Amino acid sequence: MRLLKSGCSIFTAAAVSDKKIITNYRQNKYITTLFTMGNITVKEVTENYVAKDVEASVRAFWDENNTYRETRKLRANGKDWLFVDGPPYTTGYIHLGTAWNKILKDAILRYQSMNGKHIVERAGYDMHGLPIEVKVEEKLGFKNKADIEKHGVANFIEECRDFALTHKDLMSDQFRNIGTWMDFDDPYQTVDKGYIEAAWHTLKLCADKGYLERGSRVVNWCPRCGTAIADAEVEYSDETDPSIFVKFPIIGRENEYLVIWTTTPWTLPANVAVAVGAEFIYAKCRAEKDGKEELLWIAKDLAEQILKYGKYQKYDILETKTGKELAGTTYASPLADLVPIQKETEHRVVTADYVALENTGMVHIAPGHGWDDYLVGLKEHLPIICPVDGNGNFTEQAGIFAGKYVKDLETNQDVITKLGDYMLAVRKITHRYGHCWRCKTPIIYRATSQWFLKVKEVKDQMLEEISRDVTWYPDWAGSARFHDWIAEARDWCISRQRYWGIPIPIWVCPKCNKCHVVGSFEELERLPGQKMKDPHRPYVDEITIPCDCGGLMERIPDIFDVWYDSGVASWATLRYPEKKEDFERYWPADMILEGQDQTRGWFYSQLALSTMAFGKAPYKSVVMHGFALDGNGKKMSKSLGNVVAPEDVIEK
Amino acid sequence: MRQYILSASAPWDDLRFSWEGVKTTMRMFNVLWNVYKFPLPYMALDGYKPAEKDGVWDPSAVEAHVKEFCREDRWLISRINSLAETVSAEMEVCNLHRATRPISTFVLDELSRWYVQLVRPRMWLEEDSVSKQQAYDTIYYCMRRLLTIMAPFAPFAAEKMYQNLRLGNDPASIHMVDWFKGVDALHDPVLEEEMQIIQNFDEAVSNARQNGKRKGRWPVSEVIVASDSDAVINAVAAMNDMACDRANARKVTAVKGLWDKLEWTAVPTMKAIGKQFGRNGPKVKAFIENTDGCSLKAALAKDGKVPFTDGDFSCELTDEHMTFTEKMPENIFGAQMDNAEVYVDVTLTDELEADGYAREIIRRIQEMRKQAGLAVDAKIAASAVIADERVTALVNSQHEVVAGEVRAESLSIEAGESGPEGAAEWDVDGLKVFISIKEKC
Ligand SMILES: [Zn+2]
Ligand SMILES: [Zn+2]
Repeated sequence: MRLLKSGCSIFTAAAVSDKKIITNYRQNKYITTLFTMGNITVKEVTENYVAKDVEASVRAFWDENNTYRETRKLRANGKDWLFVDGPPYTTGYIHLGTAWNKILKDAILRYQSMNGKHIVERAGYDMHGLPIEVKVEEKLGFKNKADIEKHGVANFIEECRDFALTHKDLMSDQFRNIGTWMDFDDPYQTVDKGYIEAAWHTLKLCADKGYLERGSRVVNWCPRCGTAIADAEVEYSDETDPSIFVKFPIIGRENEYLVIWTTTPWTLPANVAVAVGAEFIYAKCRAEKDGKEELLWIAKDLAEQILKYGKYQKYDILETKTGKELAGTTYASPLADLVPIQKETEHRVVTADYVALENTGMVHIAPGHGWDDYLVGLKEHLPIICPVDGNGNFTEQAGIFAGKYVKDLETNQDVITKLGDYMLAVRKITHRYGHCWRCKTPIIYRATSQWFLKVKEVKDQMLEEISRDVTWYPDWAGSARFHDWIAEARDWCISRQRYWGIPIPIWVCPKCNKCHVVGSFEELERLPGQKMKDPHRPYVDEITIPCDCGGLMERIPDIFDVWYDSGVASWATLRYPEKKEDFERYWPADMILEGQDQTRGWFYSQLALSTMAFGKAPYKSVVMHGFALDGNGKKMSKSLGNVVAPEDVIEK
Repeated sequence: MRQYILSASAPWDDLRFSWEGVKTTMRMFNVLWNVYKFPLPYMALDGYKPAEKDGVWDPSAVEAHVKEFCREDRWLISRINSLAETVSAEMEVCNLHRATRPISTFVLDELSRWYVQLVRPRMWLEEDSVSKQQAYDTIYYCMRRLLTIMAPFAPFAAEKMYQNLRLGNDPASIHMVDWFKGVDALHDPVLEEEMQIIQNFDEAVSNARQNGKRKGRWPVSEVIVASDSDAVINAVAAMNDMACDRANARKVTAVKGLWDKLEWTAVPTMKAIGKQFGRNGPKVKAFIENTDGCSLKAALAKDGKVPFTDGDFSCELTDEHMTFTEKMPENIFGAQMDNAEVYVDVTLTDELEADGYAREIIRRIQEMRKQAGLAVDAKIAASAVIADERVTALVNSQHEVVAGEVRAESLSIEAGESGPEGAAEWDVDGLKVFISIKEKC
């Protein structure tokens, strides 16, 4: 029989609380069952689901009952499952992308834990590097490294440390708030002593296997920050530069020139060669302007256009040669009288594969200021000239230009003016130009002495590791995207000329030039018999190590590239080398999960270091996620004003 | 927020944030919240005890006896097990979005919009009813399972609800519960398919009613389902009672193929006819127009052709030469569903109208009881004044039904233009009704 309990909907309409039920049913025989439903206590159930309130009450419940740790404890006998948290940079505030990252991780960790896995994890933070230095410099009103030295490196470092630690705490609170179950009480931090020791130990392992190398090399250089920066840290944007055509006088010929093209007049004081395409046809043009004749070498098919730029009224071709035939021709620098180093240097024509049949078909080569130039220089044994200092100013070697900042418009103009009659034409060009990712200063290329890890030597092994031992989600992240990136691997410049970072543990004897890589704090204190206060600069710089030759070895002033820092995370989070047994037990990681930008970043730096140090991949599976975009598909950014804060989402 | 973010896109695609999406997700949680809280008072009133062993919930009590449960219970149990299997499989390959989206669909379309509607009347049954006990068991079972598979994605909401549902010795947190990956034996694909068909049917009937401007609360005499699909025919036959209930129809009839009450008119396709038959074209045209459309359609369906002879001229006509337009019989309105057509006869008889009005009055008295905060079994005295003589008579023919349903010891139904002092004025499809109720102690 169907009988309506007609009061039924009282419950669904009004807020149902124990109290209300009692009031409504005071005289009711059901009263004794109101408090419990079998063994269940029916607590207050609100009318609507209010996310903010539910989340707050559950957070309080978890805190009160230590639920996160109790859950980990419950699964302690399960199968070990190491997860390594890719460390966010301690900027202080999490945005939707950072939140998404942690939410994805948290969902997977909770799932694995419910499936009985013993989850081994710590939250992590990336806390060194230029972004923090720049923030502190801004706060203190500094313009360059000289200001930092004046302020005192120790004072500067402590400011940086302060910034990193307070911002780390802010972020931990936000991550806890969105319900992330990771160890935020004891996160791994790249500034920790133990972490730094892991980084040192790793370098020692790499050095022992012969992967560490010192080299003079052309690097991307930020003249404001005064340091080398990685390829991945260069941001490109459009910039307008002069596009100039210059006549280089051929030695032993009267009135005969090679016509070259460049967009960086300031690199001409470093010129050592002109590159041509071996098979291209070059023409000697007899060109006439205002009744004056000149003999100009230009790629045959390009000559007409170039001569038009130079406002020549007519020309004819006297002879042609291939690039191969032209090679070896010597010429003088048009700046020889103004730049002493140019007077001393021999200049000649060389062939190079990368020369394109555009502009004049002849490329000005300055191995000290360009990557391609540098490679040509190595192949042809050309001298490497770099008359520019770390702040981007010309040195004494640059003669008349000494002291000028190379990226000033006036400097380029000055070079152009000084070239005088050697200028064939000046035009303008708008092209992509690299900038420092941190301070937006236009970068330059500089030949400097840096430390490298020979990643190219382990490239094949890395490729093998990721295809054989690593599972990718989605599959194409590994098989296509990451594979292609590794296949292009270059040796990794790990040194940076800054302050807030892990000091590179290399000590060099100024007397005999012997190098020593320190692999542990114990070793560093034992060798010189000195106590180490803190492994950061400047404290560690004070320690000297006696050399066999009787000299005193000093630490090189460089710090590590921050990608090196996070690259050691999978074993540093396990407190390796201090706790070798945990490393043996848990490593490599069962999973890591990060954004697609980490294909060139953390996925890569970890794999490179792990392959060199331990001969295998540091992770068994990798999950890749995308970017957080706004509703129109634009990347969220502060300047666009479309950033969505995670707390706003919960609030609404 | 988490559920939104996880379901919005594949992890490796970019996440396109939209407030609209957040709102939709919040709506889903509100729906889930309603589902969660709706049985609690009934369970509390009846002192419902989920099966347990040493204070730990024992799902085997449901799983082992599922065959004895009602159809909709078995269906929901099957669905939650299928859902668990899907979510588990997707999680194994880190397809988080494909793991979370089906959860939302389950909550909205299956749990809330379907099961809760079907099961609600059973919550009102007498205390010791087995069917009610099974309804409690089913909904408790499914909530516990659902919370488990939601926990990784909605850790707060799952925990909040779990804390209210867990038994004394159950794990202290939903996140300490073992993952539930589904029990294959509880998966009943045939039942799931049939139920899906009834859900489709339900939607089609409501579309057809809309076409006929007949609201769902007015009963109809018959609904026809015409289909070529055996699955549809079988499902409507097997679940006929549910189909009737959902359609609010006295009868639901399934017919294979076309419904013979439809009138078809054949329209000659002149382009094809002219091209093929030339000067004989007009003869063919006249034949098609003058022959009964239904018989032409039947012949085409059976043989694929219709022979035509006129004097010396003879030919065979196919569906190339004609199209059909359907004409609904009077008061019949149709709508499509997957693999079938639904026809609803919206003709109102006095009896149907009486039934419908009675229910309208019942619904409003129930609403007033609710607003007055009356106890479930409180007796009342009620009066209804209806501003229409005919309707008053119709409702009075259902006097006993109304009184029984609203637990009225006395009930007066009269015609009039105004109610007594303090009566609530209601508008029933443009008709004024004045109702007053009083509790009888
Ligand atoms: Zn910079
Ligand atoms: Zn020495």
